[in-house]
Amino acid sequence: MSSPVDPSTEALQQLLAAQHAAIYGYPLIGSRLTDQTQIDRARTLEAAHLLTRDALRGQLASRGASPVAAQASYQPVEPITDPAGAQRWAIQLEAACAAGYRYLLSSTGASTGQLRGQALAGLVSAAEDGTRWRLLVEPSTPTVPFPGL
Amino acid sequence: MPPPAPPAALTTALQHQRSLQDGYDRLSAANPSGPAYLAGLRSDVHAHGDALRALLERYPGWRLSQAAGTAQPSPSSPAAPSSLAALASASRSTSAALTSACRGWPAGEPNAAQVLPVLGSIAAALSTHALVLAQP
Repeated sequence: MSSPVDPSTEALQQLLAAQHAAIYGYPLIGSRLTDQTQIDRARTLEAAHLLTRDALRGQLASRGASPVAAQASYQPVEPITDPAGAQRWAIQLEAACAAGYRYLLSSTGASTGQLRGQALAGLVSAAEDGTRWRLLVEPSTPTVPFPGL
Repeated sequence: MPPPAPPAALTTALQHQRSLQDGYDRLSAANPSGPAYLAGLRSDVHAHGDALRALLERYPGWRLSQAAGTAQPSPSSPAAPSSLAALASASRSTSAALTSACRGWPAGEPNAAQVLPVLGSIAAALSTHALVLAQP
């Protein structure tokens, strides 16, 4: 019988999987964008997700867990044929990261401390990054009521 | 012996939500041709109120006070914001307060697994609201 996985470890794995997808997606997103400011943003976010991925791998290893590996490829919901499609994929990637952080937050009910702070900061950051992309695609509805849900 | 009151962090969060909701309602009524995004932000804040009330329903002390009609807004409830800049500021400060409430939520509190993701998510949403409202 296998031992149950700690909920926080499971949440960290889900979050890591979302980082893998973002790291795969942002270079492709950047290649479809035409506005230099947006291209720079895609590069900055790719770098940020790389740092987060490495930190999460370390966290999981320190818990004795094998960090989930990246998939060979990731597909957006719709084909990316123009900058708007690239922006929509970026929204999806940040939404998945927000969901990971929200899940991590829900797993911290039995304890306080560093992990809860990490989840909160990440949730706010992913929500803001998603909103910056959404402002370009859906300027009249740039927010969601419950990021990560 | 009456059941204990719900956590002050939740009732305070609802007071702030009501203040933001009042601000959006007044601003939308006074300025129907305002920014297109205003309706979406207002709708988000209304949804936050529903979610906070659903959380409060988990606490018998809240249900009792509602049934008895004794749950009144605190005299120190924040005034409703009356401009986009004031809404941005209030959204930012409420987001910070909710984040702080999440950080300080007691470990092992019976409803923590339900409360934390909702409060954290509302904090994140209000942070995005501040970002949108602060656009030039």
